[in-house]
Amino acid sequence: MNSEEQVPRAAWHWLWGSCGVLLCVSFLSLALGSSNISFDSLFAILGLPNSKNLTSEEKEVVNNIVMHLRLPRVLCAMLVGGGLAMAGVAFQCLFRNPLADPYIIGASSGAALGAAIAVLLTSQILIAGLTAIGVFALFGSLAIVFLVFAIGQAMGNRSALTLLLSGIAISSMANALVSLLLYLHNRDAIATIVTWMMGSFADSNWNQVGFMALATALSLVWIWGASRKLDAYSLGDTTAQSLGLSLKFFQIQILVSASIVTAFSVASAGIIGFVGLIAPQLARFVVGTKHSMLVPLSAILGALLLVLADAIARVAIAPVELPVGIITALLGGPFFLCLLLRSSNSGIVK
Amino acid sequence: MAKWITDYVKCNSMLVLVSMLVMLPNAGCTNDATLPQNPSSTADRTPTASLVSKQFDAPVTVTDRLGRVVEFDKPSQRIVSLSPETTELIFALKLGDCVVGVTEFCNYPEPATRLPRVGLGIAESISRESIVSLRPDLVVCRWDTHARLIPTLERLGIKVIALGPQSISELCQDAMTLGKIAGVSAEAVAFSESINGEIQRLRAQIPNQELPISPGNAESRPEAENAPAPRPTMDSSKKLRVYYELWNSPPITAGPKSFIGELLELAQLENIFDDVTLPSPQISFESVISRNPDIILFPSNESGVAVAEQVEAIVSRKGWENIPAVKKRAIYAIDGDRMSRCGPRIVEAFKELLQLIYPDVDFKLNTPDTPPGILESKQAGPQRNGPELTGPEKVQL
Repeated sequence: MNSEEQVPRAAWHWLWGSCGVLLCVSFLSLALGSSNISFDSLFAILGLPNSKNLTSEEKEVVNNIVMHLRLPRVLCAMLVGGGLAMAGVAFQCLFRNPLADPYIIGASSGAALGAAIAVLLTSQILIAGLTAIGVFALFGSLAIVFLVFAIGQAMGNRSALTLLLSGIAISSMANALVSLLLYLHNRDAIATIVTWMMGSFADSNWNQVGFMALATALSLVWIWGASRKLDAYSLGDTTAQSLGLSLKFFQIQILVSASIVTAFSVASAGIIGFVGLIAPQLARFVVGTKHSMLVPLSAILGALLLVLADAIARVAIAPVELPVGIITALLGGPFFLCLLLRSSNSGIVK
Repeated sequence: MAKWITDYVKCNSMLVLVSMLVMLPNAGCTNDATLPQNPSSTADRTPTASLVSKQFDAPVTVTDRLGRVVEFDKPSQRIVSLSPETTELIFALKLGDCVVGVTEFCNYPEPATRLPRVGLGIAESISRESIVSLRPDLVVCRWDTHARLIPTLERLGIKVIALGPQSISELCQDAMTLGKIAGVSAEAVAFSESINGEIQRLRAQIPNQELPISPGNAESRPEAENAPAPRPTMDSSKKLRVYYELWNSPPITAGPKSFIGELLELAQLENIFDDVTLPSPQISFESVISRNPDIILFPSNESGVAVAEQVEAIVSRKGWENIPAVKKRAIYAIDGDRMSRCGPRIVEAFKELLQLIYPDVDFKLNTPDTPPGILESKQAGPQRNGPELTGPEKVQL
């Protein structure tokens, strides 16, 4: 079963092409923001030769903006986009439903619930360099996803649809709990939680980039590394088992890795919906359902979508910033619908 | 492609240059050390700057509303203010020349409207890099809504203090905090004295006689525990009962623990929701009916709807026709910017409030430009310009 041979050449072109586009867009977006920084100054700060000389005053400001505000947020957007997209692929495969994404399944809601509890208890504690919000989000996300999955198991895994529906029910309950906590609590804490739930990369820092890089790398290894198992699992439980797949262990591995990357994303950037749903779908339009191609291309498209959205969020109505989730949906939605309409006749979408 | 980039670069460098030129007039308070290439900045210095150094014994340490202890080596001279009430407070302390950036909502005093903007109110909308490019040595933010900004700015070496007073005494505390940081403590003391003096003066003018509107159903309610100041003796059953509608959909009122609640109490009014603990709780229309307010107040210019229309909307609410306030049409709008911000204009808001409730009395402020004692020599500041207080926006239908 050599999957690489079956992957068409065009898929590789897509992969490398989107990689290049991602790098270009990321670099260009370093020059975008409410304060105008020319490419000259950008080159100077990045230490490129033949760039113009900045005064120490300018240098400090430009350095602060580029190295400590824009670069971390571009990297963070890239890693969160990639991570959420891979989590999306994983959940879609696991629940055998193209609608499953971290947001719908409850991983995001669980993380939100954990984070809301953390905000209400205290938002100042740091645990291993992460705020309490991050740690609580991680546990909330894991708890909800395992609850959903346990319910699925209790129902004897009869149908992926019931699993998805129970996920939706539990994530609605988690959302309701978040709303209840917000409603009952002091308005001051509400402001913190609400802005945090809107999703933003404005406060990304190198610490978060480090944690996100770790989480995304982990899920890349676990999810991409399990490409063939994912392919086998897509064929149905019986077929997968007959191909020698240990179902339970595999499911837990995928669940944990997808939940971890979701929780870290939520903890570092707040709730950003849509990416986990749309990036894998876009990738499927292009390279089909082979996971060895689908996982990396989804990750790159997810990263591209968020880097673009964040750049637009910075400049659209500068100096006022927009929540990145607004742009993600406004940018990805029409593109997605367009593809959907064009290929509805070609039978790719079942 | 290449041409496009060079054009873009040119355009951008021009913009940087222009924005630096634009920033110059605001550099009046800027220390020479921070802008070595701008000899002109010394020429712009105001008398404030020379006064500043005298009152500042480095290092100055202050504690903000989040309990953070922040140390300052030199007086703050480039301040970015992230909320309208702190902007007003900073200008009231005659530090207007030191403000280099504000938010879109900072509409008072007038000079603040001409400063560079860094975002809207909530932390989400504030552009961190706009703040950085203004090279502030102090960012004054709100302790509640802006908490997540603080670590980001601190990492960049920018000092941040979180203010956001919720009572008159906290307003004076915040003034003292800012005064210490900017080296204008005397100004801050004068400000506190002026605020407290004006409030006392206005309260002394409250008639201690028969109330203009007789209370409808004077069911006596327990007093709020934290009565801010001893008041002249008055039978509590005679107090007018007031409903303050901060927002109409969903209905949100001002609880006794908010500064609006404090002003109501100082005006000898009884808050119909004096039993709630949240500063601005959401309530139901039924509970307003059962609590029978004699007066209904709401802030104007919050939603842009004409005051008369808002009053009409309140009157036509189902089941409200028997509320004493609705029967007597004792429904009034108060200037929202003044009443909803716990800032220097709280005195004007209080006067407007009293004028609405006791229309027969002509309430007077002390000469607003000079707080007692200290500042006779300095009239030039753009701040505290409350000479002509517009008459209360009264809607008696």
